[in-house]
Amino acid sequence: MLAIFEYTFLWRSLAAAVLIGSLCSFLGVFVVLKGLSFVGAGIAHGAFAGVALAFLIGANPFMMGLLFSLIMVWLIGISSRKGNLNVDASTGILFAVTMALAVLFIGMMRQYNTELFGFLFGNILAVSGQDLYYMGLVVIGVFTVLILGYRAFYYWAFDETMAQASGIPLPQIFFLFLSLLAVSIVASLKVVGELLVTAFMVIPASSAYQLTYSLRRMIVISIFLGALASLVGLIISFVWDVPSGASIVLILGLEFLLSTLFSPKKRHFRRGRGEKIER
Amino acid sequence: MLQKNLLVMNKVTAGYPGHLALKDITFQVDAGEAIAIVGPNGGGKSTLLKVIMGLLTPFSGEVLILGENPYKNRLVKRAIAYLPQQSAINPHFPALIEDIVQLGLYSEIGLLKPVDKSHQKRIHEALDEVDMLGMLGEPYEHLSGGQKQRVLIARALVSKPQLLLLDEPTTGLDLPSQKGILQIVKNLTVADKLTVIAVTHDQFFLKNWAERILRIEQVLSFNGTANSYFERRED
Repeated sequence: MLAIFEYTFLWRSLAAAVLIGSLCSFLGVFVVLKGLSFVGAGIAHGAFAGVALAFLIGANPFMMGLLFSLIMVWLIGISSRKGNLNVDASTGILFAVTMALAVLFIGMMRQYNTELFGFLFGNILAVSGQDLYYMGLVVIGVFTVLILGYRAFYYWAFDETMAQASGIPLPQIFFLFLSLLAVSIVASLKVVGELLVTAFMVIPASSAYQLTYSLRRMIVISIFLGALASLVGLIISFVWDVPSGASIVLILGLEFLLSTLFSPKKRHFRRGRGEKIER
Repeated sequence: MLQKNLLVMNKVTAGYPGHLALKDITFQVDAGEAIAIVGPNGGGKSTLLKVIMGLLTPFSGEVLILGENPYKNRLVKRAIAYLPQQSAINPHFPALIEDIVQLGLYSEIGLLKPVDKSHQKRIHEALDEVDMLGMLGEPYEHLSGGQKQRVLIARALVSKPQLLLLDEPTTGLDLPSQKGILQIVKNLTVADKLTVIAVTHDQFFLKNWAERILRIEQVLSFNGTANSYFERRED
């Protein structure tokens, strides 16, 4: 089995998996706490429509995916802030429209494009050195913004009105977070694909949520679980010759099952029979 | 030093696109007052709090906090602390109680300034004020509704505000917890001379705490002492 590590492309894939696993799992903490998982799915659909258009007209798929997902983010943000629609409704509308656009663009292509469908399901073994370089830049950029803005994101996640009353510019924080989400989703498409990227945004953070009472620890555990699942899932996919995206997500699902079963929160409530303490 | 006319609202009209929530509201709040805001649901009480906090710019009229316009001088907003309705907050948020109280220091420490020993001391003092210091290190999720409310009050107090705004502080709590919150708010106004404005429907809280009552029904329909308010209702 150790012989597989002699392949350079596998090292690249492992590095990409760990980078993307960590990136999505960090953002996922705020996605879960703010209930934005549907927005993540919507942005992924928007990005895929952009990638499909890029293949149709011969443009750069990453840049077009990024452009589409950022446009989607801004439309969701503006319609939920200025209009009468909530985030879920505006995401639902754009989700359907961008999916229709993707189907339209694919229908306009003269032949079946295997590379495009790689973005739908992910193909981590095809990650190039240049892809890895861009992923690294995205990870450094997103981590830097999240760490520097940690207190503001924390307050925003806890309570928006209190955060705003304390001087946090709420609309800017919201747009900034959705933009980080868009950039990260586009960077992740080639690794896990459009269909599975949402799992990365939701499962590691939900697992970590079961294991700790501290946001800081939740972030660390989420990143660890995301990176671990990427690593283990990829090795399994290589050894047993099964699809990488699917095996990574199944490992994430297993992590969630185990963290739920062994959650200290469950023990706390069982001990107190669900009643809260009053001192 | 306590300043008279902590808050001045002069003919304030405010609302949202297509909806007028407050019309020609005029009143003043002096330092150390305990004021309750009452009125029907949708009458504009929460909008009034937003205007006072500087989160909603009025269509017309003037708002002054410590003699300053909060929409022009953002620093004056630091004099205000706010306790939201508990239903707006995720009761399972992953945080320890001291982490929640530390959030109240945000307007002072911002994004990057480290939390030093003096800040830690203030966090402990704020928790002590609400009788929660003994639960330091406890997860927020483990607390009862009343204890959560105490921690949120500590979060508001840690910034050493001159004006504390409470939005339905006792709603959803059992009777012992309501009494506990009432005692804390009483201590803040009587012993600490903190100016407190509370939006409330709780008659027990109103009768046992409020000195002055403002009734908001889009317009200010009553502005007087708590005694005169209850006498008028009994007539």
